[in-house]
Amino acid sequence: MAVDRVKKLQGKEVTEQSQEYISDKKKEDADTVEKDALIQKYVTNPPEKAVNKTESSGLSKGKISLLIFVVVAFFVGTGYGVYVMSIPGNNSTGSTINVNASAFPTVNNTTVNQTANQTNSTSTATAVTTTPTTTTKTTVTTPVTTTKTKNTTTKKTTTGGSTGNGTK
Amino acid sequence: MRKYIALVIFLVCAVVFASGCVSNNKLNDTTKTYAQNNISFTYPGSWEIVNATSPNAIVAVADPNSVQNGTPTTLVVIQKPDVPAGSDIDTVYTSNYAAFFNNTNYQRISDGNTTVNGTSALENIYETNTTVNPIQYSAVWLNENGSIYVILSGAQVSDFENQTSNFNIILNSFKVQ
Repeated sequence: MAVDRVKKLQGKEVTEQSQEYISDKKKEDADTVEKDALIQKYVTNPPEKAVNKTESSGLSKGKISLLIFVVVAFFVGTGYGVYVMSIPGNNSTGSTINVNASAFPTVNNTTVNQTANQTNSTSTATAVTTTPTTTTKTTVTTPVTTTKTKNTTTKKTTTGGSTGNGTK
Repeated sequence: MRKYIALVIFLVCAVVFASGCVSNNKLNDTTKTYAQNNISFTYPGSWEIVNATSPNAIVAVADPNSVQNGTPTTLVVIQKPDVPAGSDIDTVYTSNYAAFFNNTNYQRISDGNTTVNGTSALENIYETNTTVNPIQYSAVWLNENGSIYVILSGAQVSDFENQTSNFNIILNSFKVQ
């Protein structure tokens, strides 16, 4: 070997290899072949697993499922809450509901309807229910007058307007 | 690291449960406030201010879900009798109901003294004589700052006890400003 190095340094080609080098080379080749034989005999490669295996992110499948469930539940719960809370605004019907219950007694005012006639005079009194605040109603009805003449019929009708006056 | 993840999941769960805890019962627990015409009170959140056609009525609130034939059966009306300031409440009360029960549409149930917010008051409970959906009323007469106020609460006889808590919300919060 040392001779070969000297020859290399001198720029000469080395064509012959020493017996020692050749024997070492053969031994090395024999070991390599023997190792390959042993590897092929006793070492078997594991079967390839599915390629679509996701990279582990540090969370198990159960935790990811739980997280998804929680997020979905959050939005469902929030949406339901908003829906329920908006109901009162939609049902606002206060302006259309009337209440007439009262702790005070109803006052019976008397409204007199007077009907006068040339021949008949009737007077009726009708009790009407009004609010307890003082309310006075006056109704005057002028009677219908009909005059009939022989041969010629003249129908004179006078209808007076009714006058209503309410004082509160 | 795992501790932090567990803590985050716990907090998210807490938020989810809190956001999902909105229901009709929760809604009924909320109240609204009325403050006008020199009076103020709170009333159930599901009730509405309605148009009071009662004589000398200041305001009326009612449960819109109790409306039958256009008129609510669960209601509270606040009235102020048309009497001079400083009138004796006992005298006004007595004369009022002497005339009131001349109307055979009403039947007296009880009559006596009560206390509202530490103030003595008069209470008259009666009901209508109608055979269909009779209404029970409770009229509480208060003397506030020399003026008489009547808080009339009404509900169907079968539902009156259930509505007592709602009536008390108004009674206990009623103030004259």
